[in-house]
Amino acid sequence: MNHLLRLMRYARPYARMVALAFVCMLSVLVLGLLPPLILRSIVDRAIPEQSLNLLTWLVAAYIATNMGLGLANYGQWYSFEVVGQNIARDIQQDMHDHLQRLHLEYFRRQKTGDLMSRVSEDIHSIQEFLGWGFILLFSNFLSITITAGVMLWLDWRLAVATFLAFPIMAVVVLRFDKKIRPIWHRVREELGKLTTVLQENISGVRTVKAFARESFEIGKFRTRNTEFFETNIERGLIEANTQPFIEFLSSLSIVSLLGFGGYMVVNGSVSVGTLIAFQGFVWNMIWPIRMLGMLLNLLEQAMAAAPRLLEVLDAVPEIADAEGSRAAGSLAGAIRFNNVSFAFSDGESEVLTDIDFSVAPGQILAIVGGTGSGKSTLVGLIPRFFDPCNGGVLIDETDIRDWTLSSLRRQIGMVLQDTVLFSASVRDNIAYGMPEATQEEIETVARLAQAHDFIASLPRGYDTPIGERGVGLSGGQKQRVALARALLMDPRILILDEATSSVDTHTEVLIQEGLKEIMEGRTSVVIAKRLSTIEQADLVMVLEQGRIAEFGTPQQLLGSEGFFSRLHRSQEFDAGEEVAQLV
Amino acid sequence: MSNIYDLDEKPEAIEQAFNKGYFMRMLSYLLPYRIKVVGVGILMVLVTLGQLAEPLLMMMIIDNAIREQSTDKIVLYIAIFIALRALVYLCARQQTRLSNWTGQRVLFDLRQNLFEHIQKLSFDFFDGRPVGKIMSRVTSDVNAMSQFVNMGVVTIATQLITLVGITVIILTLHWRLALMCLAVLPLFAVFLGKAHPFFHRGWARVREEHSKVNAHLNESITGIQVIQAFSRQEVNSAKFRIIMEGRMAAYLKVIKLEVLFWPIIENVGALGTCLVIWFGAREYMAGALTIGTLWAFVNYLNRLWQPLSAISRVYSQMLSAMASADRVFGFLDTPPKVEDAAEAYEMPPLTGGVEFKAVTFSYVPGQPVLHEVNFAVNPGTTVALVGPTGAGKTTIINLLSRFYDPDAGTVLVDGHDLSVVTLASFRSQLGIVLQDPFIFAGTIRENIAYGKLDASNEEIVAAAQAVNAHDFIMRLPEGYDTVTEERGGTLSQGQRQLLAFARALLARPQLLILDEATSSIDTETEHLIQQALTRLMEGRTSFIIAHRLSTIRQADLIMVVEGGGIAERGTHEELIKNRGKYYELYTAQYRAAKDNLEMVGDQ
Repeated sequence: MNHLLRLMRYARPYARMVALAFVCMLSVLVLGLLPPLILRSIVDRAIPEQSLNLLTWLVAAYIATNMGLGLANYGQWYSFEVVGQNIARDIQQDMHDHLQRLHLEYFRRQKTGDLMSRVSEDIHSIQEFLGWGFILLFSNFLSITITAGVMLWLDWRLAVATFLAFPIMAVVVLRFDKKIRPIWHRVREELGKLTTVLQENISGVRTVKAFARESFEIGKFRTRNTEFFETNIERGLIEANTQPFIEFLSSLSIVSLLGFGGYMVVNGSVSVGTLIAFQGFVWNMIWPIRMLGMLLNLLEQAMAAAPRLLEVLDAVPEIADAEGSRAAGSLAGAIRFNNVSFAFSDGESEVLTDIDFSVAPGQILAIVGGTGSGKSTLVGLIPRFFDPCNGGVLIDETDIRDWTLSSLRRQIGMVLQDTVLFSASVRDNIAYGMPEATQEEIETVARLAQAHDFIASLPRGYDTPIGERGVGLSGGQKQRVALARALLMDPRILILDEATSSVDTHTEVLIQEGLKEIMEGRTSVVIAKRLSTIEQADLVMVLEQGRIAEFGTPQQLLGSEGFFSRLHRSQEFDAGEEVAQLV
Repeated sequence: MSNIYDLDEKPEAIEQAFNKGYFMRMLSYLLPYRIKVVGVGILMVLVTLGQLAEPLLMMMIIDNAIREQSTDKIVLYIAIFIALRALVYLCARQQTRLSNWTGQRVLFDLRQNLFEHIQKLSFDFFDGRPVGKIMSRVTSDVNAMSQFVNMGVVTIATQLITLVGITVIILTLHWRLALMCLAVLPLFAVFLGKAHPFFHRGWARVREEHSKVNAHLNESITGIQVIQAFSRQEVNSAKFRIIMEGRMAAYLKVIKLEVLFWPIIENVGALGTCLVIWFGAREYMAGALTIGTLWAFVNYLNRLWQPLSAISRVYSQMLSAMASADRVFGFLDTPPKVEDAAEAYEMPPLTGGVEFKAVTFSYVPGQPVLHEVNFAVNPGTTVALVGPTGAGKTTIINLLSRFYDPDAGTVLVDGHDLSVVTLASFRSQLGIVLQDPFIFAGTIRENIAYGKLDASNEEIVAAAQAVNAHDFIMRLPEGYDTVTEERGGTLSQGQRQLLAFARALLARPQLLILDEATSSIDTETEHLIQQALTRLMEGRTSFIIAHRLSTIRQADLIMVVEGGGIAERGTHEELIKNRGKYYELYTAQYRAAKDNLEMVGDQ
């Protein structure tokens, strides 16, 4: 509940609209009491007195009340919708902006699906509640109380007789809600299972056909389909048992009204007009009671959603500009790691220990190591995706934490294994870091990255949309676009994670040759997978389980008896003259 | 922009005009349950009539019982009222049960039908369509159709009866007053009808904008590293702000309409009631109308709006159902391209001789991928297919597996033309391992057994051992019963390959088709895979799209596929001596492999 209340502060900028909405709501409640009372007067006074004049005035009042009701209703609904939408939008914008500044480790821990559901579905629950759930709950409650009050005031005995069925109805409604919610949950689950079978079948259609398993799959689907059917029948039964019953109960109040009321009219203690008015009041009360279950459900969902939203908003970005950080000037690109150690905060053993080395500006450093040796993490320390636990990373002899993140990162270009491109045109993707780049600048880097040719051959060239809704690029093509993207920033420091997969030999050769030109004048840190890259590097580092096993020039390492020289020798994996002939 | 990967090019229609053919076809799904449907109909009529009778009862209580001051009569009428209500309750309950049942059955049948038909369709159908699109036919489109055919039809019938019933009753009670109310009705219907498309389009826009918001959020989360690497936060936030404005604007536009519309309708309704009250009161004063009748009238008036709005809602339901029906029936009416011929016979047990006779094929008409390809291979031969990407290696394999039929020429296995043997009998004798092996949600055991559903445990384990998969399976938490996630999430690529080998081996195929993975596999498994491959290829005819040098060199026959045909064929030694295309390919590959640290092996 506290969480929900905390989120209420988002309503503050719209306090005036909220006040307006409340005023409208109260008007609706008060005005809503008038039509039955007017009817009562018509039946009890105007008609018996045969006063056409009075009748006309009363009818005019009825019309005016209804118009007022319409206006107030409009005002109430519209303002609450506006407030609800605005609040949801503000929370969503805040969450989006906040998420962008959180440290990368946060995203390692959270699953994308979970974050997405927080940022869309949970916000939707809050918006539904704050938009109309809350007001309905409030006004329904008020409606019931005020109407009951008026009825009791008009004739308390008749009122009590009418109320008889209400508590039962409320109980039935609440119980129904409790019963139906787990069933809906199961229906959604079953639908999820059905969808999974369906999706696997369609994505794996080659395998299905390859093994001629169509009838097996049909059987699998039939089973899931049947389960879905049966769960829905169960739900239908619960609804069939309850909804008509609730209708029946609401009509019981009409019955008591007519029964007791009729009796009381006969013995003169109540006027016919009052009877008629009471029928109108009863409707004012039945609807709120029937909505009770649904509204409480909304409240519960909002209460569940609120802490999930606040968790994200309250998360503190652990990597941020320090107090007094200044913009890095133009960097030369000397990198030094000073006794750096690092471990992820989920308690695993140290990923990097005592990393100490330096690279001069313009040099090429090749990093080699098996899976889990810490290469990606080490490289991630340079643009400050992670901060070391011990020691420091220095560029041009300054600890990078002294600089603002954006000034640092804009001078570092990264191309990683998992290329992420966005749903936009090729141009927009390449110009990601510099949206104001000219076409010339973009084409220059595209050529450097060996991407210009294939881009030009796309249906709309640089304007071709790629990503989810556009043309699918091959792995190699994506890599090259990402490379162009990084190069556009003209970074002083280049970080590359060499990909060997999904690139055909021809392109590989092109990229290799292009790389030499690209790395000119930049300090390059390459997670190397090709021997040729290592041989051309100025410095080579071998990482083993988070520690530097070997470090030096390629020649130095070849001379020693380490991993590298062993690797070089095991080149001859095929015996025979054939090798000699070919090479 | 045309994209071969999206055959249903036009944007999906949200609604479509009423189509009698579709409607009748949808109704036909109710046919098997016609008894229950008739039952629903009868109950529905009873419920509606019961509800219509109420204001009359109330009228009688006031005009008869109360006016005559007869408490006995009050009791009588109350008793009738309660009885009527109880009847309505029981009928409504049964009706809800029945119509829910029929509705769910129609949903089930439609879905099952569609799914089974899709299973029959050939690859060309799947190649052009994103998975999501096919899925939404089976999930949401079918849902829209069944909802309409079930609830929609029931609602229209009920509401029509109500409308007609009320009209008849009020005309009988006092025809002049009745005419006055009814005059307003057509105006209403027109108003509602015209307003609806606005709402519909408005909400469709809102949904569009909403999915834009979600798409942006998704990219912002999955691409966070890139966003931070390029310090794009500010630009992104501004972009998001604009997208949100768009959604807000679309939403407010629709809400303004809705929030204006309904009160107006109610006001007009209240106006009608007022007219009735005014005239009715006058009539009463003139002695031509009783209070009870007046009251009944007002009650009936209040009940007139509901049918109107219900019908308009069903109208929009109908529009979306028609659009859905268009798509669903479109699928159901698509004939499978590759299917069993009329006189197809069962393929006898294979020995594995393969022959291509003048085979020509193109995916897109006018762009042949293979042109008059000829070759013959003896049983037990290992054939390696090499060549540049897109040359036609995969096509040869597709034709051999009869995933597609050739445009011209014949594919023969053991002398049998593939197009005249039954698909099932042929494919069950094939073993196919694809590039990205599909592991589905289930257990390891189930995944391997996909090759032979009734395989015994020993057979499964034997297959796994033969392909070097047994060891890593036993190291998993629950061994063969370990649950595999969708697409084999937790397994490494190498492990998935091994499982696919086991699966293929279990089928004991005489003809093996293999599309080697190109991407580097973790080095531990690489060695195991090479061994497994050798074992897999023993004694059977194998067609392999090969990338590994060891695989290529071991093949009995290498075919270089290029330029729509087989450019070179022979053994490795023969082709190397030739110094032709193969020689170039091989040396380039060799150099690349030599350079590639991961292929060479870790310490």
